Amino acid sequence: MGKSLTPRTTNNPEGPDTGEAAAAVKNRKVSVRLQIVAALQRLGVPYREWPDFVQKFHASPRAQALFQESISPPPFQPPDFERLTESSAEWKKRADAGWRQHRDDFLQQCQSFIELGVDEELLLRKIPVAAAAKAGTRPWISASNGLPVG
Amino acid sequence: MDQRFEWAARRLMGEPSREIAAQSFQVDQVKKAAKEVLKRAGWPTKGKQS
Repeated sequence: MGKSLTPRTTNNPEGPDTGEAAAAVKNRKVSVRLQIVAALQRLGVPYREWPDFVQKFHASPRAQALFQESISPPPFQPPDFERLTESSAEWKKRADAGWRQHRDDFLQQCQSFIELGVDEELLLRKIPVAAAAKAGTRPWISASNGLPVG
Repeated sequence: MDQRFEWAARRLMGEPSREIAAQSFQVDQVKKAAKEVLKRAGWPTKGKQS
C-alpha cells in the first residue's frame, strides 16, 4: 500500500537526452531530489515508509551523481612591477586591468564556442553540493563518459 | 532552509496540503510550491495513495 507510485516518465519536454544542456537539466533534477531526501531525513520519516522510487534513488550513488564539466582558463601572467619607476598603486591598477582583460577574453571565447554551435547555452543555477555531501555521496561524475571520477 | 522541500517531502508521503499549511500558510501556496518542487524532481506530485 502506498508505495506503488512510480516516477512520471515523459518524452523529455525539458530538452535533449544528451549533451551539456541535458547534463545541466539532470543536475538540477538530482539536486532537487537530494534536497527532498534531506527534508525526509530532517522530518524523521522512517526510511521504510519512503516511496520505493525515493528509496531507490537514495540507495543509488549513480542516480545521485552530478555531471561536471570544467574548463581551465589559460594562466594569467601579471605585468612586471617596475619598482624604480612606478608605485605599488600604479602596478595594482595595471595588474587589475590586465586580469580583467584576461578574464573577459576567456569568457568571450566561451561565448564564441556557443555562437559557433560547439558548446550549448547553459543557464545553470547554483547546485547545492552540500546537500549531496550531507547525503554521504560523491556526486561528481564525468560528463564525457558518465563514470564516477576518482 | 528552504521550506518548499519539506512541503514537497510531506506531500510525497501523502500528507494533505491542508494539514501542511496548518495555520501558518495558505493551502494553495503549499500545494503550488510542493507541486513545483516535485515536478522539478520528476517525482509524482499527488503523494502516496492510501
